[in-house]
Amino acid sequence: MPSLTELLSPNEVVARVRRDVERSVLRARNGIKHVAGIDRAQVGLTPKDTVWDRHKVQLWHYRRPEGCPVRFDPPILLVMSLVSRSYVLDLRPGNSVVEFLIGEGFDVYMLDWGVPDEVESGNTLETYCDEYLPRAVEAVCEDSGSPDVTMWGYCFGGLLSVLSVAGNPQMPIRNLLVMATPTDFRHMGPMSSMLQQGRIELDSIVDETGNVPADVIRGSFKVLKPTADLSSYANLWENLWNDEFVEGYQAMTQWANDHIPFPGACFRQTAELFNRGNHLAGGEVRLGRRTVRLADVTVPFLNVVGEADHIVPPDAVGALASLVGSADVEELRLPAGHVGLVVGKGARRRTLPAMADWVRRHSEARS
Amino acid sequence: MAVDSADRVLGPASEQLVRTEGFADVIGLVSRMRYLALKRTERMFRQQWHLWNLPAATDVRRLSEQVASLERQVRDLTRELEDRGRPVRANRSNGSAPPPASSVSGSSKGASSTRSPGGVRA
Repeated sequence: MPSLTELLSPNEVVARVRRDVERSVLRARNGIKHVAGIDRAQVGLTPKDTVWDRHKVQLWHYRRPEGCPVRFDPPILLVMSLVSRSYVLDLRPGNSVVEFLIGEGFDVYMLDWGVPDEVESGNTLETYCDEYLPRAVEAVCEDSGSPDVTMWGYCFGGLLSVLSVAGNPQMPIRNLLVMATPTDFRHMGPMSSMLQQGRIELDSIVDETGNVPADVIRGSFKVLKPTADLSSYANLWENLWNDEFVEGYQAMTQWANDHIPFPGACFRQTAELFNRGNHLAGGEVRLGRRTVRLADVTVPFLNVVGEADHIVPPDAVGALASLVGSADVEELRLPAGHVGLVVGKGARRRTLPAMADWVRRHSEARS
Repeated sequence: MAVDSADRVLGPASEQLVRTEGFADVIGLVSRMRYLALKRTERMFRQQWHLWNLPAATDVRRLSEQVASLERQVRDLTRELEDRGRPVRANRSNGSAPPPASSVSGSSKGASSTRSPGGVRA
């Protein structure tokens, strides 16, 4: 077999060697920085203002760059999951749902749940669905001057959004969009199955604060793909010379290991109502002193499913689109994973434009 | 690459393993044993500290829970008072939404918004 020097011209060989040496130097530099923890990724950088807060919950309104006016109404309210950091929706410049939506002409708000402690251990589904969300929506309306809002929920945030909209008909919601929202908990993975079967006692998971600790949450995600870290490190080694790759990797890894404790009361309710009772899949959930019916969601509704989602598999999203009572219902199945729906090149090129298009079609253009 | 090849074999196998009854049994057992060990250790240390009339971690936790419970009661009462004073909105199905409520319960920040140039909350 001919050697490399026989295949390439002398100049090409020199260029290849120079490139490899440069990459080795960069690899060493980035490797040291990564191991030493220097130059950590900066995340959640889109400028914002806190326009409302209640207890540890904050409502953020994102500022617009010069020459980028709002072109569509109503504003969008992003609702995140309770156990993951909200900055995944604003990960890095060029890789941000918030930045994308602002560029598309939408007015963007985000609800950040904060980090729960002993006090929040008593928070229930009702706290989020009947107290925080309706008040946050009112705050968006007051701050923006809009009579209503497009609610956009992600993962467990989608579940809270659906229940809140269904159970509070007075909420001024124009449209409801949910991504990767668990509905049929029979298909939610091994930890959910263990809860269903009673193999894990709920008291054994909750810590001294009354919440499910962040490292338990992290472990339950990691067990879904036990070898993910291995291939992730291998990719990092392969691309350690590439500054942009390393920054993106660090940002993503930081988020994937940066979970939030799950309020204990809400966890117990979720385990009883959803993991064990699977009530959401039946379209009715007992919330507060009444039964909330998903059929009472009558606003335009988009259900987004990641076909490669291993955290909320397509089967777990189930028949959500058929459970709501909206006349205008669409389901969008996209070739993306759970995080790939919002982060990465695929999100920028495919998934976000598809979702933004639906919102645009259900919004009014400003004159 | 060698790691990719290994992952192609190990990945699906490990994902299958964590979905087996055996794995679930092990996790359930480990979880239960860890919980019992923690409770036993707490009880042992509590007895030791109390022999010297000193507070144990469980005493501090109980106080912390009581304070948290009080705060939750205050929050509940505040919410009930707010709900009584909130204007009644028309349901979505009854027609177009009325103008936004003049008072939004929670802390609204108008002209004096907390400006954060970016970055993650602690």
